[in-house]
Amino acid sequence: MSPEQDVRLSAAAYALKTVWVAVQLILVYYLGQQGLLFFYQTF
Amino acid sequence: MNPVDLYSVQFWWFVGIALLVMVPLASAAPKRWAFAGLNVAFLAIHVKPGEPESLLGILSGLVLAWLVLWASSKKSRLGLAAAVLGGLAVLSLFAVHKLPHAAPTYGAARLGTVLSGIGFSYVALRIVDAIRVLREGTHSPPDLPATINYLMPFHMLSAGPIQSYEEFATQPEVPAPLSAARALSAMERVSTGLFKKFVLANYLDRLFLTGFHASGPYFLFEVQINFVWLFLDFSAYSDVAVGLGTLMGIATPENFRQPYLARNVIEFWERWHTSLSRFIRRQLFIPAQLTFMRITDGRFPLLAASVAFTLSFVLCGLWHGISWPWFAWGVVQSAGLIICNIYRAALNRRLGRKGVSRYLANRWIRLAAIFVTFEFAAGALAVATYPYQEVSWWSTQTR
Repeated sequence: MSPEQDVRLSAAAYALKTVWVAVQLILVYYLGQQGLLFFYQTF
Repeated sequence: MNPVDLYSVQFWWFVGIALLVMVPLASAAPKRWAFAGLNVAFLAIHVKPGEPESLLGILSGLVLAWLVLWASSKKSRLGLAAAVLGGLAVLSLFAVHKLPHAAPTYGAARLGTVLSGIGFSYVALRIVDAIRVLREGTHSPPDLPATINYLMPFHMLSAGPIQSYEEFATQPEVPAPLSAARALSAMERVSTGLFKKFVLANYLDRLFLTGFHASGPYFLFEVQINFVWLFLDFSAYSDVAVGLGTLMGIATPENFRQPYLARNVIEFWERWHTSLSRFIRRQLFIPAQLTFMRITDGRFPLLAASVAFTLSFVLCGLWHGISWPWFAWGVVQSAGLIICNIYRAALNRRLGRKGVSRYLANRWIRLAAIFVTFEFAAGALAVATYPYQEVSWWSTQTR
């Protein structure tokens, strides 16, 4: 994906993508933080 | 210098400010200067308190690089001298960067730390690429802000990609306005990158990787997982860089194209760390192959390709790390590429064009080829990253 490339999304795809982004970020926040804590405690 | 940490709140605050600055800008010069200012500010933030001379050193280096690039574009002796001296300076700094423990003085050791902080491996290749293109005279030299933006874009600082100077110079000065759909797709790239790094790669590491301390069948299993882990971790940085680049309107090259679907080693390098492999092709493989073909009057094309593969990938291994394991990785990769090239030529000779098409279309052959390529790449990576220093026979031999 380059800054020039245009992306066309239907309303459903738009909503799904938004949910998917939110789910990933929530998982990163909760699971990623635990992983990071583990990393710092171990090393 | 502090390393760039994608998990730090500081980094994402900076990204937020960068987007606020970059997205509304619609003309070329303000965009170029604003991005340069952001890149310098990012470097300033990452300099440790009490080490302002590090930032001064980096900024002086950038001004020097700008002068070298400008002078290299001249068709006079000055241009040639600037290109040669610039190349030698990059090589010397690269040696300090890769061999910090061999640095003879405290100053050199600290220089090594600063070079690591700015990801000098990538900066060095960008300088070399720019010097070559400017010597060819196909593009004009960058001005100071463009030099900063090309050499040290903050979103590509931690793990590339290595943008070619040609791509940088030909990108539209003003990108198309950011539509909501493209912004969402770019945010998806960023969130996917974070998910891959901090969830998938992180848990793969926690659950399965032992640093090759296990033996027997588990060792073989770990060779596979180690490779998958590297893909998730490394491609995650590229995802974040491409997503942020799209949001800011800064062309950021793709670095991975489903490398696990590669059916041979040559194709693997067209899919894995593609910005590096394109650099190798431009700067090492093609010049070496052409030189050898010229010397031998084109009588040994397979041998010419083999010599070029060996030279290119041994140097590529040493770029990753100046050590015997990375040298061995380069030898293994070139052996794989040479065998693949010879096999391809033999297939063409034996089966003909139609036969090769049938061969390539066969699903079982394709699956087997993908499997073998995966195993080869995973094995080569294990050769490079195995902790030899912890094995007694290695310590005895290298002491």
